Amino acid sequence: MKSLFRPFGELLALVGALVIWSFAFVGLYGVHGTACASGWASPADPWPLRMVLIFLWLGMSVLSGLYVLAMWRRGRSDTEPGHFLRYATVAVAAVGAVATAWLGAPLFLVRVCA
Amino acid sequence: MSDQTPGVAQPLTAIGRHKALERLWGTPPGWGALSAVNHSTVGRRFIITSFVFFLIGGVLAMLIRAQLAGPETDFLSAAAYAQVFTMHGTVMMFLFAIPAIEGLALYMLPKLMGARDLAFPRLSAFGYWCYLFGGSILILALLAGAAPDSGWFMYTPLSSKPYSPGINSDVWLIGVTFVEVSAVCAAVEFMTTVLKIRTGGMALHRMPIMVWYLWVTAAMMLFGFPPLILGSVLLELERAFDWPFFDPARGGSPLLWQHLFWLFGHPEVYIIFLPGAGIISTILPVFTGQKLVGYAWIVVALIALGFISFGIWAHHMFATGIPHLSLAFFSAASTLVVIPTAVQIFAWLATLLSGKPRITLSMLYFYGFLSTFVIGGLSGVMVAVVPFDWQAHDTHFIVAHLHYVLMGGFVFPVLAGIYYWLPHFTGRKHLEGLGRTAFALIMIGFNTAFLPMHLTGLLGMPRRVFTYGGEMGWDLLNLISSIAGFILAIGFALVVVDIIQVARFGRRTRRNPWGAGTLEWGMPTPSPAYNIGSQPHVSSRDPLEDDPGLPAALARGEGYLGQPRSGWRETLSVHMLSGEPEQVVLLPGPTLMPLWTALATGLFFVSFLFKLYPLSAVAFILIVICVWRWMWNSGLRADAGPVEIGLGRTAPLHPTAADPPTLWGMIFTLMANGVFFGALVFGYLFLWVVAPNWPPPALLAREPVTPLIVLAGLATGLSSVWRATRANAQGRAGDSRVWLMVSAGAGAVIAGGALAVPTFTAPPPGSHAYGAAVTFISGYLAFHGLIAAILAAYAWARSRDGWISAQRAVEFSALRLWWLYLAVAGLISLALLHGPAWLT
Repeated sequence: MKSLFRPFGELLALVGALVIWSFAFVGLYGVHGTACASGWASPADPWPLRMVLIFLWLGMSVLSGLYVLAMWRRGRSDTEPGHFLRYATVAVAAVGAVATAWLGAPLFLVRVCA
Repeated sequence: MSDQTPGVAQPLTAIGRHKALERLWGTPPGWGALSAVNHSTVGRRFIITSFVFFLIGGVLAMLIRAQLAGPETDFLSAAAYAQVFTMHGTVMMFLFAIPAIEGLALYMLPKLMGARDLAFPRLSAFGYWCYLFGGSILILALLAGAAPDSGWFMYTPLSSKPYSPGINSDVWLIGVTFVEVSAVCAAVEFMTTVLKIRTGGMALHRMPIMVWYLWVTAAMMLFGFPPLILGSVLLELERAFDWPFFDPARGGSPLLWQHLFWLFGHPEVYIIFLPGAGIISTILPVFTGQKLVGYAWIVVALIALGFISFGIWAHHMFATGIPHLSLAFFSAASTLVVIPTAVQIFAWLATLLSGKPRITLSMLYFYGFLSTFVIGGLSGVMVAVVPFDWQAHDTHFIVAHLHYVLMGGFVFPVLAGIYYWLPHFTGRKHLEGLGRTAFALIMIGFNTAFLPMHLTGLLGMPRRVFTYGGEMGWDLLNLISSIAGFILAIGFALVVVDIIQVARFGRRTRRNPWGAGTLEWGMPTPSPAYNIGSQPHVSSRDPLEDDPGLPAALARGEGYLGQPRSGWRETLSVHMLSGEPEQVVLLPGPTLMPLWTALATGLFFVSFLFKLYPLSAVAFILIVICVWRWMWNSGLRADAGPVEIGLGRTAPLHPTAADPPTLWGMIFTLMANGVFFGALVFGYLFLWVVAPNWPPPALLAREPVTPLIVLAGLATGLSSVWRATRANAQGRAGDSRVWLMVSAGAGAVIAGGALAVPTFTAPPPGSHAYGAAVTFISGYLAFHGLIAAILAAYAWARSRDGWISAQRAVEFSALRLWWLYLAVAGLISLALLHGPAWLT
């Protein structure tokens, strides 16, 4: 069964960095929303929450960067489909990494819980 | 399947092959047409039905424009106007745009990939009937004056019982959910088909670009529709049984509806746009004589677009009071999504600039698309900026923006595609005169109607108001929009006339009149039921360009599966990455089971609509019986070795293969199911965190019995399915069936244990959103336990009757997947249900 799903796994690897981006997105949105709604954070004392969010964002950004690196370092394929898939995977991973990095911009510009 | 053993193929002439294949793949005449499952027939039905709904939606638009043409108009009452604008949006989005895409994909996908049909032809037919019946419910309600009237996105509390006491909102929730069943079926069908049902040699990088677009669209449908289905079910439960998911006085939240709706709603924009963009990427190389620039870049861009578009859902909720930083995350994603869209636009421009464009009607619509969509995209960037959105929110500026996006991104490309593929559909070529007049009217009418509407919105005119005072200064702009709206309508009417006259009187054309390189033009036009005499082994994206003699060679049977045998409908299945042939898929012939199943499903929905709940239960049993009978005759009753497939190769028949399409169908179904469950978990947590009046006044009783029953059922079910699989693989069919019965029993125990929660230990579902959520989660778990029991019983019966052996064991693979899913969902459900009671 495992060998059957290996090709499908390669297809899933194509979107790995975008999955990391989506976790970063949902994580930032969820933690911010929960902290504000529960009263744990407030605009009057924004730094604890802001630091949590920045660490979360940095962690996810590093993770997506490492993912790009991992995909880049995967061995070159001898076959045309393998070559195409590797190229596409690295490119999509780079897009995911940039998207994750871009997501953090508001953390430095907008007030929390306001 | 007419025979259970592989017969000896007889050599045939091209004409003999055509006749033999047509007999095999054709649809019976007369009433037998209701049993059609062939993708060309079902695809054509989808497309024609969607355009009938488009015309209905267009008439509704004319009523809106007539009403708004001047101030203080009493052409429509406020109540009638609410129904008209709600139905206009609903019809255009749910009954035209999505089904038109489904129809195009149903018709085109196998042809583009050199296949004979889709992976699950009966599912296509079932999807069509669900669409037709669901859409008909909505239209009949409109004719009866009971159409939905709360806006096409049904915001609560406007759509909740106190503010919408009639049947109107129920019609929307029931009818649209019925149609959505069709969309999810189509998504599973397309995902599996692109993954496995291609012709030999069609590796990922050799797939026509349109196939990539449709594949990403299918994935988006698979992940985008379940949240809306969940939202619709929850709202209907609130309306029918007073379960307060969206009532803030009892722990609900109207914002939950908005989240669930827009989790579907924003990706929906791209679900509509991507196939349109795929059409553009397909026709542009043909009419410029230049290969598409940046194929790989476009693939990367559209994967990114498909993903990031899900991170934009709350950009429709900028005015709901969500904290600014959260809005900024959505704003960041909204601006980001422009980049992959721009990559495609620049690739198209580069293709255009490096080629020699032929100005055909399709190309005119391409230019129309480009200009219109760019304007819509730019106004989209404007509303992605939160402060601007607060100014323009819910005004006619948004109406103008969304029409620029949808007309530009979908309708114009579809019209380009219609004129491109019309010779394929009809075997006749159009004259451009009438079509060009229609194009001019559509372009002039559209831009004159909607460009001033930006200004109307900026002057403050809100959406959905049925009239306005003359002193507001909106009358001239509205009059211009209305007059232009009627010009636009005349343009569309001319397109309809043009298409009818081409189909009826058009000059017969030769095969491949545009000189395209993709495989859909390698067959006679209109295409025969079997598509292609034999399937090619391709070595590039444009096989017809490489070898102009390929169509004739395929008609002579010089490809794969050129010799019909045993009365089987055969098509190739390939390795998902390399495209190397792996299996021969035996497809089902005409059957009425999809129609009966859709009728039973319709009975379920309609009885629910009219609150005849015992009848709903009967309908559910009928659905199970229909699906059981539907599945029963699939497969083989004897083991079989590999068969010759042509070009000197052999391949196993799919019932004997390790990963037949059925298995992938199950995987994608479970993915959609997982998204539904994920949305449910999100909703439950959202209410805990954000909704007022939480924590609830009473929690689930703290008791260990029901969770232990469910846990025991999960452990027993999982282990027994694995033991049944092993016994079957070792040829111990009797032992295998015993374990299958144990597994069925375990499923029933899970169902019973889950149902005990709302029955004995939970607060009443009407008392608080917590009670409603706990009851719903328990019901979800019970339903999945019940399905596990039915699937195990089905496998038991199949094993007893000789459909299963050590070689033919897909039922076990599917059952194991179901149980794995059930185990994960079951554990999460138990944590959600019992965690709060034990932790507080």
